[in-house]
Order: sequence, then structure tokens, then C-alpha cells
Amino acid sequence: METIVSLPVEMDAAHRRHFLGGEPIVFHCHHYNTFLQRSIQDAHFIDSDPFLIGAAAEVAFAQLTSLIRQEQCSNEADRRELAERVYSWSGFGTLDFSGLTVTGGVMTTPNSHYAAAWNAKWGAADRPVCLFTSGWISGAMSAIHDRPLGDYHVDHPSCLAMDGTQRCAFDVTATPASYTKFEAVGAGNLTDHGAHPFPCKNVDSEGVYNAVTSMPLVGDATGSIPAFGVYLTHHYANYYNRIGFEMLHNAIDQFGDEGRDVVQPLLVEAGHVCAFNTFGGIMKSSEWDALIAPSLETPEDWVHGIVAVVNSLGWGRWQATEVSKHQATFVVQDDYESVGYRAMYGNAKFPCSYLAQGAAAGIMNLVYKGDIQSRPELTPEFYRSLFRSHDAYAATPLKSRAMGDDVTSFRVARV
Amino acid sequence: MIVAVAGQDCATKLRLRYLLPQPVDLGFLQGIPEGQLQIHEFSKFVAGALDHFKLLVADEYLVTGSLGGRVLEITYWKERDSVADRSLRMVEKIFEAAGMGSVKYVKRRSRGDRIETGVDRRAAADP
Repeated sequence: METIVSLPVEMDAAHRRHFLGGEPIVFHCHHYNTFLQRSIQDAHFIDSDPFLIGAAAEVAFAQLTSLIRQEQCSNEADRRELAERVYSWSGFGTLDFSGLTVTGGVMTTPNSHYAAAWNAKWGAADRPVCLFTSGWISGAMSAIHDRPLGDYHVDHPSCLAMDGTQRCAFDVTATPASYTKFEAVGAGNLTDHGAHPFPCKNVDSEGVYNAVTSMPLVGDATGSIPAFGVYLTHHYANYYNRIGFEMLHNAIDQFGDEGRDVVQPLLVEAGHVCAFNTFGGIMKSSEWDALIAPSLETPEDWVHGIVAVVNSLGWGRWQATEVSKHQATFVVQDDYESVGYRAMYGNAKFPCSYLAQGAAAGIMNLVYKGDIQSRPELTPEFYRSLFRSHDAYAATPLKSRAMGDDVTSFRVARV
Repeated sequence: MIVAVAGQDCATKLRLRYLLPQPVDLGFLQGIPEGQLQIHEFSKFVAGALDHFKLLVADEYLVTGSLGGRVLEITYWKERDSVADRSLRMVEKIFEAAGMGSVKYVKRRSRGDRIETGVDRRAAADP
């Protein structure tokens, strides 16, 4: 099966985190990627384009600058090839930098994760949606040409997500970019920790971790990663962190606590969407049937099984320390949201691991309310019946690493 | 006979889940023309796990499943509405050549919540 040549990924098993070029990377699927972007863009009181683009430029610039040094890419052609390889390997689609010079140029591509995802999820877009790619190209150009971050402006005049468009186009000019420039924070501070005990004899969590991380989950010739029944990306933890937290801070700056009260549920719901589609897809996948299903006996095993897979996604070390149909407790060490928040902004004043909060509730809703064991179709109607009914499970933060606690944890129970 | 249950992957491509009368083995997969096969040796990592496979027939379809299992999932590469009968017939011929019989296509309920065959997935997956 054709795949992109491998890259020097650091698999930090002790922390259940993954790094490439110093940037923490995490698996997420297209449902989460597009839902999160749309949730941010739909908040019209926030000018989000500058940070949606700027956050991508931040991580691409930091990662490629590091990789160029690491791989000793001294000439421009090697650097361009490296950038193309990283982008495709990550599952974002394909890019061809060969038509760009130090002064810029025009780049087009027939393969875009964000555009294809938007189309699949919501139909034709009314404006270009590949803001991540725009920022990524800008950051990559700075890294390739040894220029400071923000030296390249990228316009995105046409997009595959729009009706009648065959390619995404990006106009790159060597003029100051208009996006927000952020300083990359890299891995952040991780904890020295051991695993918390969890009550499950049937799931071999360590074996599942080793099996999943041994799989070649990398972009194919079209820069796509179809696996577990979904389309995955090796995305940047600090991209998600930056765009979510910038949205939150912007709302708080404008409206105080009321702004926070508006934004927090949106970010938690993005976690629900992630769980529903990604975890639901995983639990219905042929990979699940082969690796995990043979050892499962009880609904609680299903919870522990999906948690074992989550540990392979680079999100930190997840454990369900208590599980029943009535409630569960999830303990997460080095969750990427908390680690990222502290590195970017210092200690948080409130729990802010929204993806983890939504995902923990999502697991319980899938297993105990949605009977994922019977392979239901993951339709929008089914989503609403699981997450918007009076007896849905919801997660309440107990501890927050972002606030300085030793771990992040949640209690999940029916509302 | 093979039962095929229609579904949809998350990018609107047609995905069929074929419940086979006999377990899938390496010989069957290697007999699929132009297939690029990838094996994930899960049994090396987890006791009781089955080895998983992905077989890509470029521009046509992706086959996944467990070695020793009786379920094949095939995702047809084209958009759901434009999957040509030719692709489906191509797969049917592969099953026929392997002596597995004909394919019976099963619909879902109109609201799409459950598979109406009531097939027990664990029984179907067990060798």
C-alpha cells in the first residue's frame, strides 16, 4: 500500500504523547477538525481568521524549522520536499511547493483534508475553508527560506469545498502577513507519573497501545489517512489549543464570565462530536473487531477498550478508574489541553480540558446509552438522541492539570 | 451465500459489510487482482487478537477485515451515488471464484439506526 516516507516521530510511551519536530501531535478525525473550526467561525462576535491562520503558521514554522535542522536540509529543494512530506504524512492533503520562490507564487492542490471534510459534513461551503492550510503554507515558507514567522502573506481565493471548484488555490506573497503571530511553546512541561490502577482484566491496555502505535497510520498518495472507519490527521495539539483558548479569551475579554459561559459549551460539544464520530467509528471498525472485540465481555470492557485506544492517540495517559452504567471517573495525565494551556498562558483559573471533558462523556453515551455494541449508524439524528436528551451523560471536572493539580479528572454521570 | 449490509463511511462513500460463509485467509486475499495488501499483526501484541488486513485496489475499493474472521468491509472509492455496478460485480466475481456463493444485499431501516438483519456481530466475526 503506497504511503508517504516516514518521518522522525518521537513516541513518548511514558506520557502517551507523540512529537514531530518538537511539536506535540495528536490524532483527530475530520469531524472534529471541521466542527471545531466551524464552531469558532460561527461565533460572529469574534474575529477568528487571524488566529485560525496564525495558529497554523505558528506550529508549521516551529516544526519545520526544527525538522530542517534535524534532517540537515541545507538547500531549498530539500526543504520544500520535507514540507510536502510532513503535510501529506499528516493527512492534510497534498501541497506542491515547486512553483513557489522566495518571493512567493501560486500553489494549487486537488487534495485537501479540510475542504473534503467540510463538503462531506455540511455540503458546499460559501467561502474558502482551508484557513489551516493558508497558515501552514505561510509558516512553511518562512521556515524554508530562513525568514521570520509572518513574512509571507497567503490568500486563499478558491477552495475545493466550494461548488464547481476542482482545486484549492493559494496566492503567496513575500509581504507581512495579517494574521496573529504566536510564539510556539512546543511540548510543555510533562509530569513524572505512573499509571493509575483501573478495574479491568479483559483489556490488555499496554498491548493495545503497542499494536495501534505499530500501525502505519500515515498519509497515502493523496495525503489521506483512512483508518478506523474515519479519516484521521496527525494534527498539532498546539493548533487546537491555540484556536480554542484564543476563542475563549477573546470572549472573556469582550463579555467577562458570560463570554466564558457561551464558549465553554461549544468547545465541550466539539469533544462530544469527536467522541461520537471518532470513537464511534473506531468501535465499529474492522481494526476494533480484530484487536479489541475478541477480549470484550461487558459494557465496562468496552469503555476500557476505547480508553486503551485513546492512549494511542497522543492525547496523554487516559484511565477509567471507576466504571459502571451509573457513573465513571476518568483520570488523564499530561492531557494535551492542560499542558498546552500552561505553556501558552500560565496556570488556568478554571478547568479547560474541554476536548477531554466532551470525549469522556461521549464514551459513556456511546456505550451505555447508544449501545455502540450493536453497530448503530452514526447519523446526526443519533447524535442528537445521545447528547441532547434529558438523560444524557455529562462530564464534570474534578481536577485540572491546567490549574496546577497533579492530574485532570472527570466524573461522568447522567445529567 | 454472502449477506452484504450497506452503510456509508464518514466521507459519503459507499461501504458494504459482507458476512461470509467461511473465514478469510491469506490465500483468498492474495487472489484478489491488483490488490496491495497490508497485514497488521495484532496477535503479536494482544493475546486472543486476530491479525487485521487492509487491501487496496487502487481507484476502486479498500477491503478491511480480520484474518480468520468472516466479515469483510469494502469501502468503494467513488462517491456513494456514482459507484458503478461494475465495481460491485467485480467483487461478486471474486467471491464466486472463491466458492463463497452469491451476494444478497440487505437494506437498513429507513431511519438508519440499526441493521435489520439482526446479525450478531460477534458471531459473525468469530472464526
